[in-house]
Amino acid sequence: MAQQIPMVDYLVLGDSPHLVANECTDCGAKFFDRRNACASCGGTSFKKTDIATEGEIRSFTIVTAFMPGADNYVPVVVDLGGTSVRGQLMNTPAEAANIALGQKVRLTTYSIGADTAGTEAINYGFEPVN
Amino acid sequence: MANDDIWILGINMTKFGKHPDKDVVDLASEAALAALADGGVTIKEMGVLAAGNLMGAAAGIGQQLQKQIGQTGIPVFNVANACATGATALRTVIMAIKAGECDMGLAVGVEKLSGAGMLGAGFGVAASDEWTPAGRYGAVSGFEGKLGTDMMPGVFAQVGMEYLHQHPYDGADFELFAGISAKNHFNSTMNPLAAIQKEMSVEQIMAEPMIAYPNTRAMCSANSDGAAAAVVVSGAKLRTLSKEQQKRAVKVSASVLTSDPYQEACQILPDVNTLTRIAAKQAYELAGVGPDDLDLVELHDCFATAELVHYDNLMLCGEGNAVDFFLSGATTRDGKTPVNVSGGLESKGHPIAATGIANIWEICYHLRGEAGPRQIEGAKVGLAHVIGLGSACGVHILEKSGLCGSIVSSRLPASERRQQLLDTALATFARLGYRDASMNDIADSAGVTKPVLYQHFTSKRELFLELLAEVAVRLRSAVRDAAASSATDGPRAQVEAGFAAWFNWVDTNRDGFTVLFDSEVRRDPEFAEQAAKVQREMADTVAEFIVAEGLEPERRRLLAYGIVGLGESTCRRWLEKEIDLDADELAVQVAGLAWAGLRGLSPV
Repeated sequence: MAQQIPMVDYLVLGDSPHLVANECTDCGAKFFDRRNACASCGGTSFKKTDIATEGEIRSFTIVTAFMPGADNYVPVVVDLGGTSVRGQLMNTPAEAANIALGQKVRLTTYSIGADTAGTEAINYGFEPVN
Repeated sequence: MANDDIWILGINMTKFGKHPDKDVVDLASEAALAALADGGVTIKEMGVLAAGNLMGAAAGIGQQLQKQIGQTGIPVFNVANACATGATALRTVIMAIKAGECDMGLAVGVEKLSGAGMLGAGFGVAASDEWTPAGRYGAVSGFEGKLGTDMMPGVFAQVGMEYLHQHPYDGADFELFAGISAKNHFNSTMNPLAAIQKEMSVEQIMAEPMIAYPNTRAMCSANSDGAAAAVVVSGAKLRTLSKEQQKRAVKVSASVLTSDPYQEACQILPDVNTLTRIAAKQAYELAGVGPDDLDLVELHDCFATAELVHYDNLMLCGEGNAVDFFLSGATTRDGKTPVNVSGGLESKGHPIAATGIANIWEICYHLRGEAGPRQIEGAKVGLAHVIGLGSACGVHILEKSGLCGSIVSSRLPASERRQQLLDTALATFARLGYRDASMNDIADSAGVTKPVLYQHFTSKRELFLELLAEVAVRLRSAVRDAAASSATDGPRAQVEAGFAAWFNWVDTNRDGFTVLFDSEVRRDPEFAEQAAKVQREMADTVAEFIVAEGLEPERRRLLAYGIVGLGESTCRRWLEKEIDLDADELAVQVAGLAWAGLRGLSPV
């Protein structure tokens, strides 16, 4: 199997792909980026916390792609068990009629391509739960 | 404390739009020179300059501007705070003056943006043959189109849609947001400085190219060129300037700048709500006004979706009620709280660093009563709001100058001030009625700020009660003094003198009569009691003149009430000009009738 690398370092690949946050051990605030300190309480101690893979759409937009040949895309903010993350809605036509606020979604992954060494970069997105 | 009050002395904005033949320094100079001229001052009198040009933040627009309009050696603060850059420049000057460093300063914001396309800070990742994690997220590729969007139209689209998730709306969201845009585009038709002056229907707006659902092109702020500048002055300095300058100065009742406090999700989707709500709350407290006092609001409608959430954030409506508030028509120029009568950023344009001063210019324009066809009549209090993503929020509350009066008379001793406020309140209540007259109206007519009025009277009701009591005392003593001074001329002369005093008092104190005997007053038990007290005491005075032999005191009282009623209803007709007599002639007639009646009395 070809080598894989996650699109971002807060995406954990493997059998059950999921997101992992840096959780402040003092106040519990969760962040997805590299931290210097906690923006909520100023604490400097963090632990890794797995984030739920199912949740609901808190907000969305449909961005019109103006590059020739590019597809419109659907940025979403998803509430995964009390932690909000950003991503894109997948496997759904990019039309307002097909997207609902509060819609249940789950994390999914897909390849965004391979580099010259054959390593595939894997991104995450969200798809509706039927 | 006098140094604490801050005023806009002069202010200007250039036309927003395309200025291909001018660079940022030209535009900044144009606005700055015009603002100085508007304030009747020169660059030499400025003690501080704060300037912003977001796209050229490293170039030092302040000094570039000085090299064109005056290198006077004063401190320059070049500021950059996203779309709140202009408000930040203004806030910087205000802080310098409040700190006592100087008494006058200039704030300038300028941008050249036409043709800039969509703005947004993407996570740029250098192209490489091999996937290489980089940046704070260890990303191997840019986020845009892969993990959401950082393009402004999409970010603010999500801000608006999130509101509809928190406060579900059954109707069509697209149409709702297009409606907000239609309102602003309609307003722009009255603003010759707007980049785009074109009325657009909801249908036309929805048919425009979609940028980021639900924002079509017409619902996005227009990238444009422009500048705005303001001259700020301390109250102490203003008092030394001419009456004309004092009269046109606009009071900055609150100047607040906030950044976004940590909230869950605020690093996922920018939270433009919490910092706006905090800024608004602080501003209302500082200014001593509430959302209901606002005659107009310029808020940051960088996108139609943003305007909706700020109705709520600025507390113009109840929490969660922004949709109903908009649909009620409250924010149209004829509505309860006109919002973005300038046309808003969607049509006026959004030259980033100029925006946070241009919105204040719009408010000043109305408060000074100089807004011509788009004037909001009688505007006294306005609020200007900007959001710079990242985030920074500026809220300024501005109040019409109480003319020179507020400044000159602000040194009145407390007792004189109280009397002045009572006199002004009497005229205001007489004109508008108890229900419609507001504390704002009274403060404004008296040329004081509302907090000053509240120092003397804790509520409108308390003020009105005191006023009624005072009017009553004045009327009673006028009648009693007249009757007493003609005591030696016999009872008939006394009755006549009493009526003459009464009618003359009413003649010269029509407001007092109106307020005291108003039907609205009589419906309120506490107010009616004051009016009744006047009638009772007048009747007691009259009763003393009823000297028919053997009359029981109770019967004398009864008759006295009748005579007082006679006088009151005659008075009313007379004031309404149904009777054409002067006060003394009227007194002779009424007294004659009363006397004839009294003479015919016999003990029963």
